[in-house]
Amino acid sequence: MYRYILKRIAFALVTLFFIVTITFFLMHAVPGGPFTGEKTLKPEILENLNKKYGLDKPLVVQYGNYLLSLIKLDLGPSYSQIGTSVNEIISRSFPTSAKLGGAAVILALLMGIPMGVLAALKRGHWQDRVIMLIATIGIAVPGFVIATVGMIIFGVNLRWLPIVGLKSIKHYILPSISLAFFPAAFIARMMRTSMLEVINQDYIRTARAKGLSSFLVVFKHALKNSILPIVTYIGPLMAGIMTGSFVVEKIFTIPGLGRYFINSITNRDYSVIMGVTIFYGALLIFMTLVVDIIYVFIDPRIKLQK
Amino acid sequence: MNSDINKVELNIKEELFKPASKEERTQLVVMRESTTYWKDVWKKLKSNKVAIISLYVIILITLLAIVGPMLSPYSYSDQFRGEEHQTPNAQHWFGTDYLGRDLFVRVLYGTRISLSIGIVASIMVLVIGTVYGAIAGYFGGKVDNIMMRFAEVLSAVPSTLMVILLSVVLKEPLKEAFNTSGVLKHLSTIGPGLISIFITFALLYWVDMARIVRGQVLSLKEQEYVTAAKALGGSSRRIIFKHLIPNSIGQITVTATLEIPSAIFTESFLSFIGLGVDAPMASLGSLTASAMNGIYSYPYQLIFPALFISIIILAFNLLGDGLRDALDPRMKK
Repeated sequence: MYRYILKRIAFALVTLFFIVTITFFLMHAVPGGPFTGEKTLKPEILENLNKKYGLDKPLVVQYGNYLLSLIKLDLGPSYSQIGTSVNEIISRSFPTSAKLGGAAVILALLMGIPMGVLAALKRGHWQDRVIMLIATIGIAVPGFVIATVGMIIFGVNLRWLPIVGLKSIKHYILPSISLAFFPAAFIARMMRTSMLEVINQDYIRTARAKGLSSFLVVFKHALKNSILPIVTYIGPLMAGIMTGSFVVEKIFTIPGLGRYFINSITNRDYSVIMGVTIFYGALLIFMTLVVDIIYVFIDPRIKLQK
Repeated sequence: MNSDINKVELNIKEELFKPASKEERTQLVVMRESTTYWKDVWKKLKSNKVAIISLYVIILITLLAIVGPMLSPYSYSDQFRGEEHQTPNAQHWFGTDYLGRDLFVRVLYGTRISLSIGIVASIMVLVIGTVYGAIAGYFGGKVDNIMMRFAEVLSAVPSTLMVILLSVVLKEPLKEAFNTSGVLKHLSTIGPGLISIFITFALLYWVDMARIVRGQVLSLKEQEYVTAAKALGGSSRRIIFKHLIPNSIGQITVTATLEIPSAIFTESFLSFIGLGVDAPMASLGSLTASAMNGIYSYPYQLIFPALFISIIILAFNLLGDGLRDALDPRMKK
């Protein structure tokens, strides 16, 4: 098993290296470099700027330097905000995104799992139909549509909920629901399928035959096993919520990293785009790694197969 | 007793011994009408009401997207001064936007763009993924190992981040390439934003398809007809393209169908954050995004593009699910 874990770690490192390399060379393939904007700079100024950020050296040397500073967890300076480093930008705005994302993950699980279980237990009844209808719609409607429609109805027309920023608990409601809607729908469908599978197993029949109440059967026996596939979904879930946060933070004017990232794309702040891409990439790879390792511990069947 | 036998009339007549006529012969052959694979699929699909309704919805929307803009007196880029921000009315069925452009035409035009993005991206994924997966699965061993390792690394790369990155990076060079090169000039009508979306799809999104095809090929290549084809001297290329890929067509079709909504989804997301199609072109995503700017005063501008995009994605997803059940019951989850 330790071999398996080591292998996963090595694979994660290779992937990260791949991302760093691709990101670096892609960003440096943009013609004109980071300082060609709307206003043309004098050649002397441009030369000085290039010298200051080490952009006058050959590309391979720049790449080496970038890798070295990455090992020290330094993502370099921002080219458009003079005097600010990418690290500062991330540490300033990521906590906001993380809080919102965390809330959305919890919400997605809290909505998706019970919906899936209920649908499976009431298979074919109206509860199942209603839940599956919601889940199907949830998968089809893009997050930004849910966010804007929610904003118009509950924020603008009814004035129940605030729609700008992330100051109080109330501010979390709309953005986190818009973020959690798609994953919740997905989890509900997954949960329903796996619950249906588990509920037909022999040990469930045994548990029922022993005279256990259906409450105990569902929560002590069935839920434990049917929830396993959901664990594998946590990696993609994080990725989805991260992507979603790009638009949701823009819509609700939340000062998080997602909104910053989108702004840096519009402003063409290359080092920030590069740094944030690598940061998010590393974060996701790390999450997937953790989930992969946890899965080995919670599902004994995996060990048997190896 | 003897008399009893005599009483029994033997019901044997001469005509029973005549050769059967053509009509009688066909009556005797109890056989169903021979059916092809696709006929069978269609029969199963027809019994699935949800999938059929989705199919009709898709056909209807596609027709609307093709014919609608032709019939309308306005074009998608016509601006009418003094008719800005109109709510839906008799002249402008879906209203007008901030430049006085007719939203009905723009939504239908956007649908056309979004649909073609979905279909083109899906075809690219189909071609690249199928060939890659089939080669990896057929040759197996070292080739398979290296190819699938590479695919695994690609799939571990967060695709949305790469799509954003590639769209940022490719936009400018593509614009230049269109302006300088004569051959590429006609591509400029599609716009660098769209082309970079296609390139990213071709680079990143084929991995799932490759995996599915590889899995199919791995099990199919052990079948007798492949051994027979090999024994008859069929080349690897012939076996892959004439036997293995056609026999995995069911799963390939399902995956390709489900790729369409995912591509439309990705494009709308990109357009929403300001990448994607270039103005004055419109996709459903960019229409939703531009509706966002006046969302407090003109919420009606959001409704139609948002509705169209949701219906399209929903219909393709449901059709894909239905196809999966019809094409291969084993894939049913």
